[in-house]
Amino acid sequence: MDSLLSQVLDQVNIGTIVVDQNLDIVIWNTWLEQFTHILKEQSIGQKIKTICPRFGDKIFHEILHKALFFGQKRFCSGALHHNFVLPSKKTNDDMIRQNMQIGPVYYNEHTYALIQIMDVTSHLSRVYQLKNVIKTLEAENEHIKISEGIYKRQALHDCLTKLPNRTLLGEQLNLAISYAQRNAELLAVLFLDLDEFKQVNDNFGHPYGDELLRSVSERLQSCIRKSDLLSRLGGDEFIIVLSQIKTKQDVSIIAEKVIRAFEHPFKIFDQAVYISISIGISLYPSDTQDPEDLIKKADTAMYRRKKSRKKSFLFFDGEWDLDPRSEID
Amino acid sequence: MTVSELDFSEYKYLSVFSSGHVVSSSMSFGNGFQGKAFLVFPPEQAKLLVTACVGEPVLPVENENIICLVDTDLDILREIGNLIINAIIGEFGNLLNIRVEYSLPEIELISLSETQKILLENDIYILVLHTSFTLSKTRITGAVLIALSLNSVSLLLEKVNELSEDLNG
Repeated sequence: MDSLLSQVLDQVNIGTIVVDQNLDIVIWNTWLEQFTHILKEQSIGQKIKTICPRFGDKIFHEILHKALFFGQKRFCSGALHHNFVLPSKKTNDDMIRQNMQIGPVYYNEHTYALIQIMDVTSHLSRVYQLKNVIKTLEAENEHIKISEGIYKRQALHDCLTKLPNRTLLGEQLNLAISYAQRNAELLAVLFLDLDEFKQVNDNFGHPYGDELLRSVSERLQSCIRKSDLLSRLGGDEFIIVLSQIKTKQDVSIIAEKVIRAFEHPFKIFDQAVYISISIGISLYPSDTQDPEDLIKKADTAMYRRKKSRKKSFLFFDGEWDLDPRSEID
Repeated sequence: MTVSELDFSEYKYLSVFSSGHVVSSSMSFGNGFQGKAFLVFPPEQAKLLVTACVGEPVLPVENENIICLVDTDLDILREIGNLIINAIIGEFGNLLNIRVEYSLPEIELISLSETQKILLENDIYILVLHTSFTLSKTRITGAVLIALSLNSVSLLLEKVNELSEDLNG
């Protein structure tokens, strides 16, 4: 029977050491012989720390002590401790990963400590590879998220001025109307159009016109509050949505401020350019409660203003024909 | 480690965790003093603990839905559970002057409802210690749940009475 147990012990695929209460090695199996090239005859009867120096460390000495005298079992992970038994031939020890279990064994009124060493080098190597794959995937996922953010921003913003485009304006105007409705406030839509912008493009070229549009958007932004919205519809047309307005007079003050802001020239490629702006205004809820309609009515007002007198603003009048391009007086 | 609260079967431990999964490192013990002890962490706390143990910089978990615990992490948690539960149950053994037999630790990623089912079957008495400890300037919270057999509870109560009599003369 002893011979059978001995054969079994020598065939298991883990390192098995048994030490007595003096920490002398009692059993040293074949797996350990093959791994360390230390034979049974060389190890049995020796102090474990002589054969395996790591067991001289305080931590492992205490673990053995607690197993032998207090019956405690311990699991030590290769991820934390790396390894416990090393080959006698100098190899790249740092690559070796072992898990270890230590527990008491009681036999003939004596207590022994059973030490089991499991080589997990290849397993942990696969885990680390998997970790790296996960990290790479996470990085790629982050990259995709950033790209999505950029594409979304590009889809909702004008690429020249970086202002919200018509799509985002629609979304934001809906939200602003809901807010105004809840708080029983006014909301104004200002339709702005540069006067004689075509001449700038014709006389100086499109790069010049583009630079002017960028400067115009910056100047318009400086005229409004952070809570207001500035959007470019396209060409030389801009929309301002003024929220949290108390009176129509407040809207006039801001419109006047915008007109006056255009009295100073724009410096485009070291050249002073004078340009004015015309503004049409519609109000929520008095003119309409529909966002599209608000823009349309502001456009009508702007068109009428431009026909009769540029460089000024005009509020929509409910008596007018809605078609902004229809004949006006 | 601080023991902040003692809770006999009021199931307050449920409030330690939000819904979802928890990581449990558990050990059975027996021979006179019998039961099963669990060291339980929410996954994000478990990840913080592992990160601190391997000496990597401990950063707050940005997205709690993406907490990746691989085999090596679970091995480390198993060892930590082993260490803490050994210490706690060892103290019970010292108090009762009993040699306790321990199993090796098991590690599981389980849902809270499963934990509840495992712990509460057969009307087992549960001693719940809500714990937290500081590791590398990182505050980690979790819970130690100790399920005891009725005999073990009686042994503990007898010992407490004995100590109380000694103290009161």
